[in-house]
Amino acid sequence: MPVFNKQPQPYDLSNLSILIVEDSLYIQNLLTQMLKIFGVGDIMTCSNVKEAKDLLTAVQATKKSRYLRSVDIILMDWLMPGENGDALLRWIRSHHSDTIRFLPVIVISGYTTEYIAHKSRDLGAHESMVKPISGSGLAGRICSVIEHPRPFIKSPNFFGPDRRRKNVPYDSKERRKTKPDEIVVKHARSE
Amino acid sequence: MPDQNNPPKFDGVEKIEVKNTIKQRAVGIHGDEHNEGFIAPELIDEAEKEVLKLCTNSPAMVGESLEKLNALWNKMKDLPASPERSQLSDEIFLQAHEIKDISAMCGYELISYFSESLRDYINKAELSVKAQVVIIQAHLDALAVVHSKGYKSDAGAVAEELKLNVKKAIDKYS
Repeated sequence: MPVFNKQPQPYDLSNLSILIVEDSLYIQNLLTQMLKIFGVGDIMTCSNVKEAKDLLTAVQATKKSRYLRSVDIILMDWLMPGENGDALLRWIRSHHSDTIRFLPVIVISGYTTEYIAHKSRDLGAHESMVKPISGSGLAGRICSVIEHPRPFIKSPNFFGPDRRRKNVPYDSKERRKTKPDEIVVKHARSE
Repeated sequence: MPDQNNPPKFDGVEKIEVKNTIKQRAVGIHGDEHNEGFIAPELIDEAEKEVLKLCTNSPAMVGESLEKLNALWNKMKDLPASPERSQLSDEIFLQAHEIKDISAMCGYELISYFSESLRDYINKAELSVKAQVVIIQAHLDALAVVHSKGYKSDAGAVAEELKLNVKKAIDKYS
């Protein structure tokens, strides 16, 4: 038997908890079914931003509770009645609690423009996907969040996962004001 | 003690490394978190079947949503510009958006086309009440025809004619 087994292995998602924030009941049910099939252990749903804020405040604060599981990943629609997804994303990323502001967020949008993808990225989303939803698209986003957790960047105008996914040389005009060696590296408080 | 609502001003750039506890739990106690993981292809196939199942029921769902849309429009169309009219217009916006989502997911391109266009026109602030009535009614008429006849593709002579009718209303009144 080999000592190092580097074969890819199937995830066991039964210990994970995913929050769906989606106003359409049809799409909410579809996402719930798909996550159940993937084996996600706990699936919570909210129909609007206010419900999501209340739920996150409750479950993330009572993290050590035997009865309430904390959220690991948020799947959220962009366009909803009342406040839109951008309001929830801003709230999450500016929250004082580490258990909320570092949460991975996957944005689902019905708008087929790059605008939402760029905007959600600039507000601190980890991933975005455009409807129609597909099994492979959803699985791919979840795997990316699990497999490639990017460090968070805190600057005067941004807080969220590092928007640069690849470390490649950059030939054009440098727009960053801070040089890489001037960046302060910190570690998030452990749970 | 630092004020959490008014944190001190920060001018630099910080990189914060976050421990990947999700990966630890996703590989389970017998797995190795240094190995890449995946969601099994058979589970992805099963999830795709859920999308197909939803699509089998989608004509009925779209029919229900169109009924709601028409009921909202019947309440709204004769109202003068008012907060109540704006509220109904927001509800129509969301209903149209839902129809667009379901129909796009299930390949009903023509319904998706008209519901998206309706969604984008319903809240156009520069439209007068009269212009809005004509443009929205044209969209609803087109949606009713497409749904009742079961037209799917947004190409072909019928699709072009329906699109042209809506375009005429838009060009004349916007």
